[in-house]
Amino acid sequence: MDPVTIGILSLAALLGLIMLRVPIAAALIGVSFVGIWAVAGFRPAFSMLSTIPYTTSASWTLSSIPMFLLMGYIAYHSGLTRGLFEAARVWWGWLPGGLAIASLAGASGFAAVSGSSVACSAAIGRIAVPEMARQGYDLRIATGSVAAGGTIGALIPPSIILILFGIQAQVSINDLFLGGLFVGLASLIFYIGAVLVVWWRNPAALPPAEPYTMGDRWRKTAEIWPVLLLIAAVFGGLFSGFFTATEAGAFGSFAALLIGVLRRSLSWADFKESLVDTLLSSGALFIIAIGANLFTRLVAMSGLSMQMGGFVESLGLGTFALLLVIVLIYLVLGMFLEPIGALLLTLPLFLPILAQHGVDKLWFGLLVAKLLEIGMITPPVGLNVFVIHSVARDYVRLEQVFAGIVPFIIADLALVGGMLALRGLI
Amino acid sequence: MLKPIETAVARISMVLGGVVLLAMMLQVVIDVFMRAFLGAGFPATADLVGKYYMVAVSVLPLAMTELKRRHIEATVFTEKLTGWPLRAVLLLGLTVFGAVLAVLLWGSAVEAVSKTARRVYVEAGTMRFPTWPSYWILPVSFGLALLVNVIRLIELFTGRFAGTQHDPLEELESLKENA
Amino acid sequence: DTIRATSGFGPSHAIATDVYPTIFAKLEELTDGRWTGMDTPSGLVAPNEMSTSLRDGVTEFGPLLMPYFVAEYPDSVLVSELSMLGSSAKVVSSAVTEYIVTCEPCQAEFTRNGQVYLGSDTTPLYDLLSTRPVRTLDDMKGLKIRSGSPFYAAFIESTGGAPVQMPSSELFESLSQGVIDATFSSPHEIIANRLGDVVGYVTEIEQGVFNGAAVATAGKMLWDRMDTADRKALATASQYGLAAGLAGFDAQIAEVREQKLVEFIEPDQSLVDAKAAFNEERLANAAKILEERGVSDAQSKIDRYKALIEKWEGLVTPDMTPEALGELRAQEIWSQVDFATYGG
Ligand code: NA
Ligand code: NA
Repeated sequence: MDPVTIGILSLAALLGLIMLRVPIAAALIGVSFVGIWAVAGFRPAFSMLSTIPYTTSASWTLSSIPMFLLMGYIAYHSGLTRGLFEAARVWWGWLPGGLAIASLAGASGFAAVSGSSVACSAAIGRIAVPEMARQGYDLRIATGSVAAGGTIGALIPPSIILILFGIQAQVSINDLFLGGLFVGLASLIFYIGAVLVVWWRNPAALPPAEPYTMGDRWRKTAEIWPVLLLIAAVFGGLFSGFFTATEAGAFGSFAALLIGVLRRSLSWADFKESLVDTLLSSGALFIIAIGANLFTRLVAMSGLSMQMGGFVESLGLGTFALLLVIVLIYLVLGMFLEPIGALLLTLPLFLPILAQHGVDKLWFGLLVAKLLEIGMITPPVGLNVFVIHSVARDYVRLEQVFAGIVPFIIADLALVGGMLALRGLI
Repeated sequence: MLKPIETAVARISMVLGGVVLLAMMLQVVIDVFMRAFLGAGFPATADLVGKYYMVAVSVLPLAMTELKRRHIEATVFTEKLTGWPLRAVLLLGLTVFGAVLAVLLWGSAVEAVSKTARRVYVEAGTMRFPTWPSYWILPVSFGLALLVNVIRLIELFTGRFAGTQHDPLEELESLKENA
Repeated sequence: DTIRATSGFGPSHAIATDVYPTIFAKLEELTDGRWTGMDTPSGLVAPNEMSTSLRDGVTEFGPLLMPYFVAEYPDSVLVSELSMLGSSAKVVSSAVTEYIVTCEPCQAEFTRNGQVYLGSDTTPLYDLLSTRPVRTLDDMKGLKIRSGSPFYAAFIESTGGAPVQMPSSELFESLSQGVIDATFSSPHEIIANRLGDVVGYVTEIEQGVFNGAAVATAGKMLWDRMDTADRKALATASQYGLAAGLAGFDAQIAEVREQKLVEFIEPDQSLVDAKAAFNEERLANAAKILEERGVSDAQSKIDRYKALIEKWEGLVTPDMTPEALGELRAQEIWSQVDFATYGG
């Protein structure tokens, strides 16, 4: 069997198993193992299953993910964040979709502290979803807005993807960061637009809060000092060079713990529950990350990606049509692969072709980062969606989160269209 | 007879995992303070966090994740199923995950044996930092998860595990009432 | 036949742009087209997975960074501890290659891991890349500096600086936000790793090189498929590729200077003296450090490596072309090797 056939069969098997309720991690790992076996033999397949679980999880950089999860759970269980959303509710609750918009803004704020979108979703997910549920939001839009908001994490600097692109494609990282800031903020605006469109079509999905007096508002605002302290600690530490983006999660959970204990709002039972919840979410997420990593290796090994590069070149397209095809390829790859792997896999293929067409590498880097982040929320493998589902699974099923993502994916596609149009103007 | 095993597995992974999470948090914070105020950070923090804590946090909870049915899966295409079709779907999921865990257990054990034979270490600053014990976290965790998986399969065949879906809506109603 | 290679460090790294393309072109020429190679896209094998991946046939040819696997190759990484020896990358990489090819315990290490050693490159001499100017020993005091190996960590400590360990993926951010002040590295990284955006100064300390990269390493499964003539061709071709890689680094440094991306600073006498004193003491203690790592008879191995450095100081001329260096290495190191038994 030729590698391309094996690659396509693997995709079909993966989809089939997922639809039959096989846990997504098991489907990814199982299909990757059998696929690599078919392409290269038993020994390489077994070798990869022996080594990659360790090399994937043994990562200092990824340590921010469980730490931000822990911060979110502690902040939630100690009622730290309740005050924040109370304040958001009394000030903006009357606005259409006010809490969803506040969550999106909060996610953009965390984007400035965290380099990865999973960590960003982890930090904001447990905090925002229950509050929106309390106000009676439709949970699809509530979870969808937070999962999408998390993708801003890898666009607004710091960003692991943009640094990697800068090194691999030889583009100034400072320029990429500046551009990433714009794309991140543009994403925020487009997402807010999506929330407003959802409200416009179905106001009941985003019910407004009852009106408050100005006195209520100031009283509520005075109550949020602990969470402001937490935010100040995390941001202040990062921007003063006290700690790195990786260390910010540990520092944030430590600060949340400290504030909770000092305010006596975190009981021993709350504390234990925060730890267990963090472990359960980590267990569910990292085994999927291992599976997504293995699946990326299968795609690399099958030669599917190389064939793709040749195929795109053989089409002999004009620049705009070529870019459309590349956008489509990234959207399809993004459905299944994890973003760093997909980036490493595709850049060697596309950069030379794009250079021939004179496409600006800075612009392309921003486009690729945006497309890879869309992959974080598209089914069947959408890590941001999994994080949100994992922290909010008491209220919402996986497919509801994916359903809630749809307006935001439409907003994303509009933004990608805008970026393509903007390139025409340059 | 199976319940005590489940409870023991859950308790062990919860306690160990919780300790690791706290250790990770505290060590990073201490390292940051030491680097800022004493010049040099806590020795080998990045390696201890990366090679030990992170591996533990990633795979040690796997058994517990299955016990609490927290593995992420798509239920939308099979939610209407009852009776034997439902049991067939559950059997497929448990079998695939069990097979995957068995291969992971085997592979990671082989790897751990070879790393132990070489007493593998990394160089952290000017010190030698042994990493070979960290390779054993994987087979132990995969073994515990496989154990739970096998118990589930037994329960499925003896009819004690129905795999009915927890309904998020109930939870939601109670949340709204409390609001 | 086509060798499935994995350069592993991304498409714009010198291994992907210079070393491997040169190796495969030369291999084709030497085998009349019977053999060539193709670099599979990065993402198949990460550098810290290379050892088992070569052994198990995940890939057939790749760069092995031995310091990642220091316990598996105690004799072969011995040269890292002697990083202060040698005046240029051309000299050191040739001496390292000859040392490992003719070192029995090193060969046993590669055999045990299912690999065949075919040559090393080294980085250019390491300098201090910093966000603020450093000229004197006093300037080093309290400076937080990323160090990539015990050798550099010890040197930083000896100057009163604070060595910090972090993965290279966090280097850019950490320098940019002031978590660290500097890194020990070759100035080519100012272009290659985009450090020019955050680093303003290069203090030309010229303290050692990174010499632990066995960039041309073949899997045993590939080696067994090749006859003696083709094996020799691959070993020979590798020398041309490695020499081309060194020239690639030099070209990047020339570009850094030409475009004035950073300010180059001449270290003052206090810093030069501190370096000399550290190197002398480190060299005197090297045998002891290595014995602790399980290297037997360390002093005589050190002496043999020193002699090879001196030999190559005499053979290499500063303006030697990559082709000339490749030919010289093939002649001096590989012409006497019996390819029926090498790597067996
Ligand atoms: Na960010
Ligand atoms: Na996806």
